[in-house]
Amino acid sequence: MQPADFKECDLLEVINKRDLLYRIIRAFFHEEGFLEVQSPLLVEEIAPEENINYFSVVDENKKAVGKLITSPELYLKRIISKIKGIKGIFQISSVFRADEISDLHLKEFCLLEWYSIGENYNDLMDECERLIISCARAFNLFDAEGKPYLYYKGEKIDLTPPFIRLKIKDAFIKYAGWEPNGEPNSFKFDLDLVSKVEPNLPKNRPVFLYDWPSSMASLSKIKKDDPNYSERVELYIAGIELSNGFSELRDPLEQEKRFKKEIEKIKQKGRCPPSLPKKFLADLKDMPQCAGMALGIDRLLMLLMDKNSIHQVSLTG
Amino acid sequence: MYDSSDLRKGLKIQIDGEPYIITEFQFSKPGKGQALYRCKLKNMITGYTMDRTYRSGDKFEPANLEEVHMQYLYKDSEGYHFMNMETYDQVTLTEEQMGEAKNFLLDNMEVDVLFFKGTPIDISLPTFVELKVVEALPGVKGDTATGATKPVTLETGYKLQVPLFVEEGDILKVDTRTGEYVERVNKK
Repeated sequence: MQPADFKECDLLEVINKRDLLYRIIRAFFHEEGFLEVQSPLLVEEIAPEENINYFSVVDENKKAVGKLITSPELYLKRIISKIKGIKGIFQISSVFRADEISDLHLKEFCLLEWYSIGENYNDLMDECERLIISCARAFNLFDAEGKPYLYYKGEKIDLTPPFIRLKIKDAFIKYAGWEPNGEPNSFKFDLDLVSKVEPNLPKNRPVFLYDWPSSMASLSKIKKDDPNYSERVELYIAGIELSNGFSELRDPLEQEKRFKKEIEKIKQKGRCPPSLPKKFLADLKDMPQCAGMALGIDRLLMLLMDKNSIHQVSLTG
Repeated sequence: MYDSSDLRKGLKIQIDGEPYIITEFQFSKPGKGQALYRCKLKNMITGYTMDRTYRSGDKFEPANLEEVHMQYLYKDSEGYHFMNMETYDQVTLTEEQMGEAKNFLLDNMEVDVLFFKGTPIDISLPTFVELKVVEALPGVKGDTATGATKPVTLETGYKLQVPLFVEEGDILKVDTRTGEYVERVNKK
């Protein structure tokens, strides 16, 4: 699919609403004391992740010049490793993922990513709640009593905090009938996640699914009391995956070990893995304790505008 | 050969030597998880349906079908009769083989008949057909509210929901994939 045919969207409406959403997000983070940064999109190093396919870029003479970021994670973490005395940073930019196209996927999509210094994934959940509520208010989505709501596909979603917080283990036991302990079969896990867990999550309130299997959280801090699980959290609204965050892993040796494992898995699939991100690993030893979250702006806008497809709210493809 | 990324509703592929058509399709990709291509498949010979989930990189043989351009003649107790316009050979498809396609078929309409190993198993209709309304209740005057619909009957006997302004004698454009009203073409 080619971007920018503008066929599926009302151009003026989309531009207006995107403009509003960007202003709200920026005001929210500035209010909380965060700095906006622009890390590069065309980069040397990206995180090797088994299930995230990247684009390689060549110049007009077909000489390789780098890769397009699949997320700004590595460069944002390098930035907070090098500067002190800040509350946190955030970035709003396009990211690029190959082989992803559907009503909920774009090859180029807009990602908000933020890092809160000194915090953990519980704080991220609180920040996420405040951010979503700020967005809903700016879009006039609240009832006569002033309670924030979202109306999506005929469903009224109550945004009153706290959102539902559900361990992924309990969600699997409840909706899929098994416990994803140890290193679960990733095909069975992903299939049951999309066919049994996601469609059955409560629809009338947002849900945080947290404490994911460690094998599915390669940049996340492992839980002290149960190494099978990591401090990873995802926000779902209307059964749609909206954001993903971690208490960040800070141990360079453990991170290198996990990257190498991912590289092996990519090779086994016959695909070409990115090289080990050495500059990132060298800076990681100086990274303060922090938590980071990535949130899909196009999906959030789709929910706020009550549209069926991401293509109706985006100018990218 | 097809790749997982070619999978979509309506694609015909071969599994264990038999032709299947994808009747429902859904792409899923959790942020950190793998791409999953979930399909509901119908065996084009037996009508048997099954669910299959494929992954990135899976390969598929196209269904080994021959398409022959033919003209629809008539229907009788044996089924639906079609004629090859070059050889004048005739073939018959049963009501069951025709499935939903029978709702959009008019005498003398030209369609593609699909053959598997020399046996006709299905037909391939144009995506859009234009059919006349033969029965319609009068619309409520002045009611222009969007979304309001009423049932009408087309010349093939097929019933569907249409906007209130549609009248008996109108020609409608219908999407044969969904069976839904697209637009009013003109008045006959």
